[in-house]
Amino acid sequence: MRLLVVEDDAVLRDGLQVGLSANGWTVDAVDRVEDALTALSSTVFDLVVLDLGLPDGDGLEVLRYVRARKDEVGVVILSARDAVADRIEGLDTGADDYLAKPFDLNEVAARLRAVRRRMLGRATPALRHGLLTLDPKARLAWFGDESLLLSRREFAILEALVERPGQVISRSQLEERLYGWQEEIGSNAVEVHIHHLRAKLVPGVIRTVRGVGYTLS
Amino acid sequence: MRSIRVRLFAFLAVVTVAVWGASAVWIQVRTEAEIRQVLDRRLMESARMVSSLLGQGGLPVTAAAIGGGSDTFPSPARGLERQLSCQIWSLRGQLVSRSEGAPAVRLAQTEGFSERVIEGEPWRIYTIQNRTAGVQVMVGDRLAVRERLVGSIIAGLAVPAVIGLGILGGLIWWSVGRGLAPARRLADALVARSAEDLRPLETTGGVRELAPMVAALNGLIDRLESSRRRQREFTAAAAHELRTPLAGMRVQAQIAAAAADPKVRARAVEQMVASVDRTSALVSRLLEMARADEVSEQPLERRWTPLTRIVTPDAGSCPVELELTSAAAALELNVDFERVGPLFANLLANACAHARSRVRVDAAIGPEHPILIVEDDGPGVSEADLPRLGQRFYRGPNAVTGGAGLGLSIAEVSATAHGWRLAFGRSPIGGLRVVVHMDAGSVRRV
Repeated sequence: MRLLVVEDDAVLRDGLQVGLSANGWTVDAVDRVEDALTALSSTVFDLVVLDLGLPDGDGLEVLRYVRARKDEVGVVILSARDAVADRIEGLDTGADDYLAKPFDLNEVAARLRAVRRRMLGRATPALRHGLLTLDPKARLAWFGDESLLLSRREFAILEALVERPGQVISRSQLEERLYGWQEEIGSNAVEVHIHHLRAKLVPGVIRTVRGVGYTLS
Repeated sequence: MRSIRVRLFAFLAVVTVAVWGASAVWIQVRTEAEIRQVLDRRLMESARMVSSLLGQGGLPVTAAAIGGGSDTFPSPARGLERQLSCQIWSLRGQLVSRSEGAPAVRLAQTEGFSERVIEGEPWRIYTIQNRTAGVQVMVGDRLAVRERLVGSIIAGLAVPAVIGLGILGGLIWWSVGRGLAPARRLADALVARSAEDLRPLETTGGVRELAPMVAALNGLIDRLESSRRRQREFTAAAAHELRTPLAGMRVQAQIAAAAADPKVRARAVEQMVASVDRTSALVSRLLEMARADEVSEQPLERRWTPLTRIVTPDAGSCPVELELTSAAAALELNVDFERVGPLFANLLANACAHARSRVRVDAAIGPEHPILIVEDDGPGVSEADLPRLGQRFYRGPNAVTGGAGLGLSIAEVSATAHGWRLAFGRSPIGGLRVVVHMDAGSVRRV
């Protein structure tokens, strides 16, 4: 999953980036409204973690921007403004969740997973497709009863495919999901990961749609 | 403590008694004069009447000497009984006749009115000569009777007056109490108030005389309210400002606790230390702000101080060139040295932190009020963000990291205490220009 953290306090921004990356997510961070808008217009994010009091404006501007574009992105507000009126305004502007500072890092991660689950229309925490079962929290995967040993990126690819079974996901979509701005992407990195993944699964589970991308059978 | 009610009552009582006393004296004097006139006329009339009876010769002089007839007249009221005495003397000096109860000695020697002491009592007598009958008619009365008459009239007036005074006293006491009731109600309202209730006192239905006091009290309540509101807002804002660094420290602590990689843990701890340092700096600024607020209502101890003594940033704290123009260096300010410190310290710290290469302190004593200018050649603040400068905890987009957003607010509190005003604008040398508008009495050239 690809996350954008919008927070102006350097220590908290760094903490969120490091702490949320530990969940296997690809996390980018910005500290201003302007940078957040640029990031959201150029990259597809699955979730945005949004602070409200930013130096060049209100975080709600970012929220309005993504809602106006009808982006399919979950937004969780983390704010020092903890009054009921502020929470209501944040949620009614289109936030999926609202947490007051200070918060627990694990709770933020759990809420982000919950938001993601709701966006995909699931009630259960586990992802299932055929014999495949994925636990996004523990980042474990099973094929039938057999547990699979997957790397972080392999798991991310499989998660992306299982989240939208039947849809074809392009290589560039997978790249965007896997790599942050600072990360170097090899020209055939995704192919390599897919290759390793196929080796760990029964052949034919991941189908290549030529010239388009990948899907689950 | 003296009671307004007792004072007012005493005052009104003294004035009333004085007025009543004066009118009583006047009434007595006037009554005495009137009665004297009336009684004198009676003496005269009676004497003429007797004389005319004799003069017509219809009545033998001797008949009057018998002095009968008093029994046939109804007896008049006691005390006024036999007020008049009449004597008829022949011109040769023999008593011809006298009325009942009249003294035997001759009443008067002269004609007209006279006063004499007869048988130990003062009398007033009127004498008329009747040459036709060859007699002198004398009619007199005792002065004591006259005085008794006046006395009884005065007594008749005094009794209701004394009773009236008593009733009036009661009415005055009651009225003064009624009149002072609004003051008592105001006091009751104040006593009944809780310390939290800072609504203005009601003036509707109030009394005009109490209006200045109510207005003054409301002014005080207003100042209390605004000071308390400032405090509340400040506390809320401070709590709000501390939440973000606390959240950062918590997250980093969780990362450090969960990290398996020693490098990740070391980095998280490093971040925590940095955040603790920044937060303690923020807390110091908060305390500085709270102190500035606290003393803002206290009077200043102004002294003439050279600007060069006030604008002295220690060399280490300003990394760029600090230029004090000769116009500014030649000034003396009438300031409270302790309390003007935060103003220039914060303006200079702010300018030094944002400047690229220099900070300028200039002054102008124009035809209007004198101004001091502190400006830098840093990135400055956009036109749109200028109005937000000076708001507590506001950090502009170009603000250096680590600032608490309180420097200009602290400067503003200090300026306001001196009766000055801060204005923010864009500097011709590039960055932010802060203009301190002062009053003419605060500045002089050395």
